[in-house]
Amino acid sequence: MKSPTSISLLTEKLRVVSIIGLEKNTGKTVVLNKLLKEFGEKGITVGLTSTGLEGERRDQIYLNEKPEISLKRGTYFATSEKDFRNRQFSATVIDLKDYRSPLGKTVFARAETDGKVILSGPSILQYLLEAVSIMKSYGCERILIDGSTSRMSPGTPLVSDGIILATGAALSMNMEELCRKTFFAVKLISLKATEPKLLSRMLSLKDGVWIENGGRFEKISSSALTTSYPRARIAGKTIFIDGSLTSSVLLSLSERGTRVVVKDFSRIFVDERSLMNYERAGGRLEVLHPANLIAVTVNPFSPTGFKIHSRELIRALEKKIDVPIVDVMEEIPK
Amino acid sequence: MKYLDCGFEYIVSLIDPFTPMGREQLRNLNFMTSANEIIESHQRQLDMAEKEGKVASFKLILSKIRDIRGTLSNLSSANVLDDIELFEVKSFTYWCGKLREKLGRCASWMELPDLSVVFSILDPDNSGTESFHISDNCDDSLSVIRKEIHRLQRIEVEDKESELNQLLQENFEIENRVRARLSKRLLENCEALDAATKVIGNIDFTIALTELNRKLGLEKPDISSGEYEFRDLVNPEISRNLNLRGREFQPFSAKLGRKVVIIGGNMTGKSVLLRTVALLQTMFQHGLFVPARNALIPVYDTVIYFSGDKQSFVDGLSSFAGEIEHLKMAIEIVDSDTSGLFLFDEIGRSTNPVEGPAFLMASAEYLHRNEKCRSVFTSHYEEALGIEGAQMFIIKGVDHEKVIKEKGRDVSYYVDHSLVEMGSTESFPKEAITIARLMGLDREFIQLIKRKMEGGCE
Repeated sequence: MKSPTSISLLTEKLRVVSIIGLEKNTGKTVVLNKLLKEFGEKGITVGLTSTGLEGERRDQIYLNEKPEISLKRGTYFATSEKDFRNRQFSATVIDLKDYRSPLGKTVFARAETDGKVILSGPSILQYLLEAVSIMKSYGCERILIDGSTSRMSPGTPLVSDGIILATGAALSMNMEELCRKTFFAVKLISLKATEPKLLSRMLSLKDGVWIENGGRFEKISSSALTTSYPRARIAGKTIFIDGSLTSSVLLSLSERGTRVVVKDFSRIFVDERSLMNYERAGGRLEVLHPANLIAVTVNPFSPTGFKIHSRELIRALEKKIDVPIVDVMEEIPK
Repeated sequence: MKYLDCGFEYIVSLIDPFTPMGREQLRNLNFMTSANEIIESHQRQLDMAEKEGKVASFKLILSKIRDIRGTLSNLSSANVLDDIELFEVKSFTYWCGKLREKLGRCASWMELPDLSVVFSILDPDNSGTESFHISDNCDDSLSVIRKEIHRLQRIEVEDKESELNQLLQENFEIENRVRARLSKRLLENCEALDAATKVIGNIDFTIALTELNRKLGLEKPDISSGEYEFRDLVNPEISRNLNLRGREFQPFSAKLGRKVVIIGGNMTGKSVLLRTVALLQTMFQHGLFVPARNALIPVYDTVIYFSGDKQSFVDGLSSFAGEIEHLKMAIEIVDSDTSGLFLFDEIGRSTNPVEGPAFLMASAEYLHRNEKCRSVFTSHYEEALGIEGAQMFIIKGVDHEKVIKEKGRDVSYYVDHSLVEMGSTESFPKEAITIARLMGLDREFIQLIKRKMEGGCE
């Protein structure tokens, strides 16, 4: 899986791809622009949206210029009224949705000439899903979601068919720490699905914490956060949580042979150490809906001007990650 | 808007228009003192009820109609609209056209203006869709400039930047001129657009009313020149609460004179009746249908309803002070030449039993002086029987046969809430002790009350 010819090739057959950055300035936008350029050359119709309040032209922390997204004529996009008004090209307004945000409603539009725009689409999952399906209805063959920094929600398999994870020197200037943090994110995104027999039973479970007993599930609590679990009861059992999984909850479930299942990786808010302790105690973590990580991109430049050795970083990451790893700042040989 | 405290808010909360224009109509719902206004509102509901089969498709279209009132106000202050606003107007005219088509032949109040001219102003390509953009057809030079921009953006030439920037600037300026031109033409049609938003609001609001009528089984009342009648009057809010507990609201029927006194034991529902009449009148005077059959009701300039302690607490008054304030308002109406409906729940109750009845007697006499007014009192005082010329009603109360036959049921089981006109031979009901016993008050305590009664505790 070394040296892919182009990032866009990796997205083949995936209609909705989200790009998630582990930190600001990890090169998400560069990846996005690269994908758009490649899709444009192949004549693929693309739809574009983003999550989070990203609508600033300058990075608010380091004041580096934040690259705007370059659209080709014919590209569909969703952005806020404010950012739509600031665009520098002609566009057709197709729809206007009242997803309230500080930047106004959300405009669905098509670029009529090439140009640049800042994306600020809806963040709430329900609206994001709707935005994606609206763009599907326009006939977009690929839909790209520019995920907001360090928020995993757009990556949920409910929305995205594939994920590109952006990491880089902005996350840490220490190679070892950078790798460790990236491995952890990759580990969560790549969590395995529970076996089909049990999985099909869990799909209908709603709200709260459920425990398996001889293939049947019973509810033990309506909220994961407010429950204490008797050791004897949970040891060796499968526990399904419909909701968020936090570190403290995971630690309270640390028993030999315990298996915790959540909907998908975007529901997991667990730190590295807690997951490690949980696994040491003999626990397993699984998901109902596994995600599809298609590539990890690295940006060797940190916003403070520091540059990490790209080749070395890629080599280190490749040891434990089995999807392609791409340096976004390097021209990919055609 | 502050309504009479009679449960009207509950009714209003069930009216659920779809569009911001319809919701504005709901906010503007006011107390109507003109019979014609009420008749017009009734007629709208009847017109809409006739279109019942199409309402689902109307609602589907209404859900697509955008609120362009802000954009119209921008337009009328001669501002140039941007692409988003132009899109909103185009989309509005598109869906108005669809609704107009769907409405077909209809009552004049739901007739939408023909906005096809406005639509074509914003659809120079004849695309027939609601999407909007400054098309090449909007200006002769646009097509050439845009082609050149497109060509330059796709070739690698040195020094193309300055040429490209100049073209982009030109494109930008032409687009702005087009927007200004379009805005000017829209301004000429601003009135029609504005009228359309109002019609949309009316249609939406009236659909919401017909849905309320269906949901609560409301019926159209008739407007009388003085008579006051209704059959099977229910209070939707209390009725719903009773239904939740597996019980039913016992409807009231009555023909009310100008001076009405309702008596009845505790827990018989005198206050509920009075509150429901207040609600009936309030709904009627807001142009709504009412929760009664064959209602024949006059229009009043003012409705005054004093329900007792709660509302006085809210206003920061003692209950006696609240009573006096309401009396003052009623007297003012009697003295002026306007019409009023006065509903007083147990007037004089909040003071001592010697002076209290005098308040009742005096009110009944004074408020009757103006022929355009009608008063309804409920009372516990036996003196009420002596009010001259009053139409006396009694709520039946405890059904003693039931009490003998069956023991141990909930107190409500034994109470008959029927409202009947009182014959001259009937005596004043004194059933406080019976009801207290049915409610399970301590036996020994009840005996003590009885002894006190016999001993003459006055």
